[in-house]
Amino acid sequence: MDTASQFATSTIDPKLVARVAKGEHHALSQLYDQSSTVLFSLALRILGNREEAADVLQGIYLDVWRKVVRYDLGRGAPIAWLITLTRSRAIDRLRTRGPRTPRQISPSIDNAQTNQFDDRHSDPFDSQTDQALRHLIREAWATLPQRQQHAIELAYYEGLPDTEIAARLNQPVEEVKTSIVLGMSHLREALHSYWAQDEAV
Amino acid sequence: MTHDQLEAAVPVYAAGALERVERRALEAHLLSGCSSCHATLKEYQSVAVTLPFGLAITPPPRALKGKILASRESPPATESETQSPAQPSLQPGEWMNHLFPPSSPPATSFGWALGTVIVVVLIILVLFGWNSSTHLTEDMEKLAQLQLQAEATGSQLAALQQQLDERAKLLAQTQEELQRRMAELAEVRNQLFQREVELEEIKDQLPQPRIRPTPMP
Repeated sequence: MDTASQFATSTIDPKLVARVAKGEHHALSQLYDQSSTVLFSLALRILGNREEAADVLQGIYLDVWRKVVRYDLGRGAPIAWLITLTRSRAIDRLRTRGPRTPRQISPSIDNAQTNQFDDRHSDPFDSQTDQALRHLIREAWATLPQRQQHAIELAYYEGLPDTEIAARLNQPVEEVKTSIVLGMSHLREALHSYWAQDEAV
Repeated sequence: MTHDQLEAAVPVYAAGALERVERRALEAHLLSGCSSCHATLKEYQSVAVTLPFGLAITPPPRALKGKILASRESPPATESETQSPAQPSLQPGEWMNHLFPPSSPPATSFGWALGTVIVVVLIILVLFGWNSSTHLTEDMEKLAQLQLQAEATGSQLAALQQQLDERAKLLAQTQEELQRRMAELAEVRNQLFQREVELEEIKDQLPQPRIRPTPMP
C-alpha cells in the first residue's frame, strides 16, 4: 500500500479496526479520520438531519471501540462493513420516526448532477485513491437513466422495499425491479476496472 | 422460485429493495450453497457499499470527534479496573501491571534498607569499640567477626538481588506472553461470538420446519 492510499477511506487496513478493538486510542482517532466523512455523508443523506447523523456516527464508533460490534475479514473491507452498519442504523432510525413522510424532492435525485459532483466542502483526508473512486462512481451514476437512479436511491437511502418504491414512483413493481437490476448492473460494469486495478495492487 | 429468478433478484437484494418473502427465499437459496449466486451477491454488495462515495462530501461537525474520543473513556476504564460482569474478558486488566512495577522497587529498597542498617550497626559498634578501652582486643575480634558476617550477608543479599532481578525479568516475559495469548483468545472469542450471531441470523432466516426439506440420511 503506497502512502497515497495508506490513509484512504476506501482502503482502510483491517489491522486498524483490530487495533481499535484492542483499545488503542490512536487507532480510533485514525479510523475516525479515514472513515467519518463518507459515513457522515451517508447518514446525512438518509436522515437529512446533521444532529441525527452525528448521533449515528457516535454510536457506531463507540460500539466499535467497546466491541459491541465486531469486524472480521469475512465481512469484506472495513469501510464496506462500516458503510453497511451506518446505512442499517440510519435507516432503523428513519423508521422509528413513525409514518414516513415521502420526500418528493430528494436532493441527490433532483440535483444529481450538481449534488453528486459539486463538493462544496473539501475533505483533508480525501486521498487520490478515494477521489478516483468518487469520480468513477459519480460518472457511472450520471449515465444512469433518472428512473434507475430514483429506484436505487429509494431502496438504498430510504430503505424502501420494491412495492413501496413502485407506489412512490407510480410504476409497476416489476418495472421498479428491472430499473434496479439494470442500474446496479451498469454500476457493476463500471466498477469492474477499479476492482481489477485494486486486486492488481 | 427458479434459480434464474433467484439470481435475477440478487441486485435488488443488494440494493435493499427485496420484499420480505422473496428476501427469505433468496437467503435460503444462498444458504443452500449456490456458489454462483454467492459470487454475484458479493459483487453487487460491493456496488452497494460504493454508492455513498458518489454522494456530496459532507464532513461531520468538528466537535464530533472530540465528543467521541471523550465518551470512549468511561466504559474501557471499567473494563480495565476490574473484570466487568457484562464483558467477561479474558484479557488481563491493569491489575497485572501492579504485580510487576517498572523497576521492582520493593527488592531494591529492601536491599538498601538492610545495607543501611548494617552500616549503622557497624558504625555504632566501631564507636563503641573506640570508647571501651578496657575490652579493646575483645571488641576488635567481635568487630572483625561482625564485619565478616556483614560481608557474608552482603554477598547473600547481592545473590538474592540477582535472583530477584532474574525472576522479575522472567515474570515480565511471562506477562507479555500471557497478554499475547489473552489477546489471541479474545480474538477467537470475538470470532466465535460473531459466528453465533450469524448462526442465530441463519436460524431465523431458515424456513419453518414444515417446509424444510428432510435431511438426507
